[in-house]
Amino acid sequence: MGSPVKKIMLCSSEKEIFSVEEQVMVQHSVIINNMIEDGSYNHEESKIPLDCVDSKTLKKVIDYCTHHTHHHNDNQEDLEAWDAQFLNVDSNGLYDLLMAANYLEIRNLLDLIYGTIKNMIKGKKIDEIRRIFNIKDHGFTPEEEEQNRKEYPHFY
Amino acid sequence: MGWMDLPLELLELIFQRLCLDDAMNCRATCCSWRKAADAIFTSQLPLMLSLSTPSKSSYNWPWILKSDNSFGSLSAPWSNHDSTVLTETWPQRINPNDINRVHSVQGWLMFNIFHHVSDKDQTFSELSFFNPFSRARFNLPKLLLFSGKPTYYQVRVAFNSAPPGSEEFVVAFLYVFSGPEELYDFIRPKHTKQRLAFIKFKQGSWIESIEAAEIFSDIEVHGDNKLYGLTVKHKTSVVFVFILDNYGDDHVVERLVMLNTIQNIVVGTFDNFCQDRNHQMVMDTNTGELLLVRHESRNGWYYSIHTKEFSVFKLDRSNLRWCEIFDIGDRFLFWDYTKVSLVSTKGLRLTEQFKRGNCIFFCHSNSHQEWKYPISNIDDLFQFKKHGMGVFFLADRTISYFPISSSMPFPFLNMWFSPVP
Repeated sequence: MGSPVKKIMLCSSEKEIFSVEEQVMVQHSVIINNMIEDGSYNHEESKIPLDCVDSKTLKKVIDYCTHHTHHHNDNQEDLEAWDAQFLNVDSNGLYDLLMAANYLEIRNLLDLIYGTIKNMIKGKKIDEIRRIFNIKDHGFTPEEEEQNRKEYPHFY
Repeated sequence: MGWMDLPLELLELIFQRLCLDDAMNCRATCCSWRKAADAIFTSQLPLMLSLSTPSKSSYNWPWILKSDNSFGSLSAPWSNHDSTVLTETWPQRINPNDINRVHSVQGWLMFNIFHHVSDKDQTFSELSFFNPFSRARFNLPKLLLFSGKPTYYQVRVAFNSAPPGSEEFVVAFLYVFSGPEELYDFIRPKHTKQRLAFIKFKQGSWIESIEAAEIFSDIEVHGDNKLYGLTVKHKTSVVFVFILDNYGDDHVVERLVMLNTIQNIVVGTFDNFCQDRNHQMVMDTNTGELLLVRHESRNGWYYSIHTKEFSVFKLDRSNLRWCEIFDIGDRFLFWDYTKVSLVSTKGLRLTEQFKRGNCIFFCHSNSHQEWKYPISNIDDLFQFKKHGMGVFFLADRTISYFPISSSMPFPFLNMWFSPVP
């Protein structure tokens, strides 16, 4: 057996601690990679505080990074199926994942999320998009909204 | 926190990936999304509009597939983004096989519709503007072109930089034709006639008294009263500048500028079947600089044109000469068979390849086909050759061709189009 797997500690907004293989996070998160490289992470004492990521989302993000580290040799189809299953969440869950992936700079996860959002919007009418993304207060004045409906009659 | 409050830069990253119809929908979803969508629209290069052949065209080439009712598609051929299929059908009375009749103007399409009034035997032109996104339309007043029936002709339309439909919008219209008796003589100047007219949207009627002895191959408009006409005399290019004066009865003040010879200058042919415009003028509205763009090509089969290179000349006003320039700085030229436009790199989001500007994007028909006989299947028939669309880099005079997407509708013609929200 080789040396024990190096771990790092991530702390969610609920102050829950997650212990993750260092390699997994370094490979995927630009931010964590930078922290390890510049020595600002101390393995004995440090916890990486992720105040804007809740436990549920952080767990998913760790799942994603772990899977893609250990299964990167899987065939493309299997990986895509796993990704599709992984992103089978409601729009709130997707929003949380987007914010977390953006904060941690996990580029392949971001791309995946952007692709999913694109498919959620594709071919939808304006009212449908508002419903999907839970946009209740569009912020337009009644006149602007009237103008929208005039400008895009076929989109409503 | 929610989707409405996404940081602008994240929204932009999302919208960049959307096709245009979807981006337009997002634009109407809420205020913050509108801001992000507009930031994308105003920071992108013009897109390539590929117009399909409509299913009810008046003359049909047997090898052209009948497309569905779609009007065409918009794409950014240098990126991997999806193209948008425009679902609007062609306006009736338009024969889109006629290359002279569709123009792209600051986010609008302009159709030139001919009306023949049979009892008077007069033919009028009506310019009809259509915005494919907002679906807004307006027409300019009809313009009497000629009595009787002409045969070969070509149309040039020039615009100033004001938004179509705004009070400041100005259009110049050039119509060059020859009568039926000179069917095969149409390149001889004595048989060729032209009409040159000018309209200020604010004033609402055409100024038609623009008389010129020369036949122009291109026109360009600057500001609200300046009209440039390009012609060739004794193998020398000549630019006429008309200052259209609102106040006097005589609308036109003419000034003649003689210029040095540019080798191989060829006046635009009056061949209806040739989409090539060897020389086109473009005005930099910021600097008032007038450029002449020469397109060198090898004509291929039927509509295909194989671009070889471009040369750019600048009007040196003090010496009345065209000077060839090899660097257009942080600007792009967008060339198609209807016009050349200048686009500044400022404020645009560009990939490394295009950051420095100084290149010419070109597109014409991408229907250059490699004919394989015997034709075994339809795919062979439409082996698109790529030579019709690409970028010419002025710095090293090389061309990078765009890949042709198989999802594009079968296009008859391509032109550059900037969606303006």
